[in-house]
Amino acid sequence: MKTLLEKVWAQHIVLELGEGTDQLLVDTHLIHEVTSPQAFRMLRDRDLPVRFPHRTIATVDHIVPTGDRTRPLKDVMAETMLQHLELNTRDFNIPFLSIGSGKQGIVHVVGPELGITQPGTVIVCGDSHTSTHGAFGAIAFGIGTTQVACVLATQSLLVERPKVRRIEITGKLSKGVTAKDVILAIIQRLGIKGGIGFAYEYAGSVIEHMTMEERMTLCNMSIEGGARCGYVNPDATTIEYLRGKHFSPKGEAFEAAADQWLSFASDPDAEYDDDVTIDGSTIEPMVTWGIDPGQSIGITGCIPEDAPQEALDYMQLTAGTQVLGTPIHVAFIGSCTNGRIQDLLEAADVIRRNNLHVSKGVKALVVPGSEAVAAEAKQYGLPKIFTDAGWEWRNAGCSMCLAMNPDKLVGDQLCVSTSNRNFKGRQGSPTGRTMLMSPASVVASASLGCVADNRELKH
Amino acid sequence: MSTIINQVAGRAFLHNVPNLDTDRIIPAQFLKCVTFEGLGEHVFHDDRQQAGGKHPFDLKTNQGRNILVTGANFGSGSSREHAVPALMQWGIEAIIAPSFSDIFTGNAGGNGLVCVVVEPEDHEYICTSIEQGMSDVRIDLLSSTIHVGESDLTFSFSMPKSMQVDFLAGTWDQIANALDAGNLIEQRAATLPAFQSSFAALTEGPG
Repeated sequence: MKTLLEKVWAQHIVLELGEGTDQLLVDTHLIHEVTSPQAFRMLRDRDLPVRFPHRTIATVDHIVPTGDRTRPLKDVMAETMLQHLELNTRDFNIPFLSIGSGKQGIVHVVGPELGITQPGTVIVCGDSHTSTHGAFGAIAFGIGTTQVACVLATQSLLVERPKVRRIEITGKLSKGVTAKDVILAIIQRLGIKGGIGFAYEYAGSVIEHMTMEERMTLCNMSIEGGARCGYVNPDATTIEYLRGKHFSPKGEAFEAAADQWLSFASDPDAEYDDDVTIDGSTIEPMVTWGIDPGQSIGITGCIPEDAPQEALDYMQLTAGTQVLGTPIHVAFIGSCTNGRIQDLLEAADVIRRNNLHVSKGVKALVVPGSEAVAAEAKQYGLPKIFTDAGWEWRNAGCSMCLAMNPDKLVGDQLCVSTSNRNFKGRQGSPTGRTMLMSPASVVASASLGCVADNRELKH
Repeated sequence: MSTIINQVAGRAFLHNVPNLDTDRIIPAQFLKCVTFEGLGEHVFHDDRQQAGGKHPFDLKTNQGRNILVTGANFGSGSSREHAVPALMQWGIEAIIAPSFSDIFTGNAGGNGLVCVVVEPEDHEYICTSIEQGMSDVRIDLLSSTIHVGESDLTFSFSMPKSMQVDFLAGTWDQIANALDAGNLIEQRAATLPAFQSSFAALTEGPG
């Protein structure tokens, strides 16, 4: 009779505060260099310790250069931020996944790959894409810096319980359509503010057949639809992914944990605040044409006639026309949305099968989501496939998703990107333009030098 | 540690654009910092630069005004709390909009920035009134109403109930409130399997 959210929420209530608000215990707190220094300052000012340092873990991702990472970092402020994180994690006894440790990477990539992300847990981080971890049936959401300080000091948060919208994707996806296209299609239909006040539960045959990497791509962009939190019920796929991970229980303890994890799944007769069904077979490879992630169309479609002028002006596009064939300048594969090993394997596979090379004049970047992803990619020979095809193979980090490191667009360059936000100025230039799409679509576009339909390639 | 907030009175201005995300409110380049100081001058930096002095935050008539009336889904996108002090340091004390992103709402509450939600038709009416010069606005938290101009124009608003209660009681310091739970925190933690394991062993070396 209960949803996963209700079950997990109930287990984590420290205090019911009334008015729909609870003090909720946090199992796992992920921190990084951008949203934590001020939080540690708040702790120091109040002379407070970190309540559960062993349930807190830090990495550095946003400001990391993906080229030369020697210390001190050339960007003085980036180096200062890294030093603050080193000092704070040392002073407060918090484990830190540092550059070169083999474990550094984007916080939402390293959590799952180390088995830190587990079903039925509450996970928070000072980063809106914390929704990624919902792929495992965790209740995971982004918080601000004052809330980071609150979790450091009390391992808990004062939060309103969200409503739950079940989004069922039925049928089967067509060739060339990926999890990225599914979430872009969901956001296009429900709108970028449709999820305010809701958690999204993704279900249906399409979701059941997705790998964990695909579910992470899906849940990652819940926040782009306004839902602070999105999740998939744990199933056999979840259990097999977690088997053998660093922080997963071992032996018999794993089987016991697995039974427990599966029990968190929403009951078949659970009641939802809202239900939406989308036929997965109708979803095309998607591309954004505007300045928010809801402004997207199928790759062969036309920009709506009623498209806002502000978006059209910024993107230098015209209502009623196709974006297919629009010349591009930059191609980016990476980010917490699409920087995992499966994303890189699929992109490399499309390159190899079709003998593709980056089009002349296009700058193309592959940034693995973590040092572990980079190491695994090396075992598969991916760096050579990419570099032979004209791509730059970089070190792990957030990179051009938000351009807090040296990877930035210049002027009004147009970038096809596997990241999650096409906001004005997002990729480091106030006039830079972003089109969000899947890794396969980015590879196809980089090779033709213009927005392209990956379905015309061999898969 | 926090003060009672029972009303915000002053002069309002419009930046009536929907979906103003936090990347636009404070672009990523200004997140390269370890404090929240000095963010006010950079609020809407890129947009203001593009607008060449015509951005609402640059217009002479809007200087010194403290209530922002904006479009739906304000503060969407990135969780960066920096957006809140950036707006407050510029001089914003309250924001009126048809909706706010959930993360922004939480960040505003922790900083004592009053964000109130109004019905779309009331929003339109408030915008028209301000355009017509009725920029004196008073937001009364006790009665959940917004008073516009010298006339009797009154609109009701909503905000998260617990936040409103905390503003009125002057108890919106989240950290202090959460600390009040004392060892109930440890008691709850003792019932959860995650607290049996530690991340500490992880950093001892690759593998």
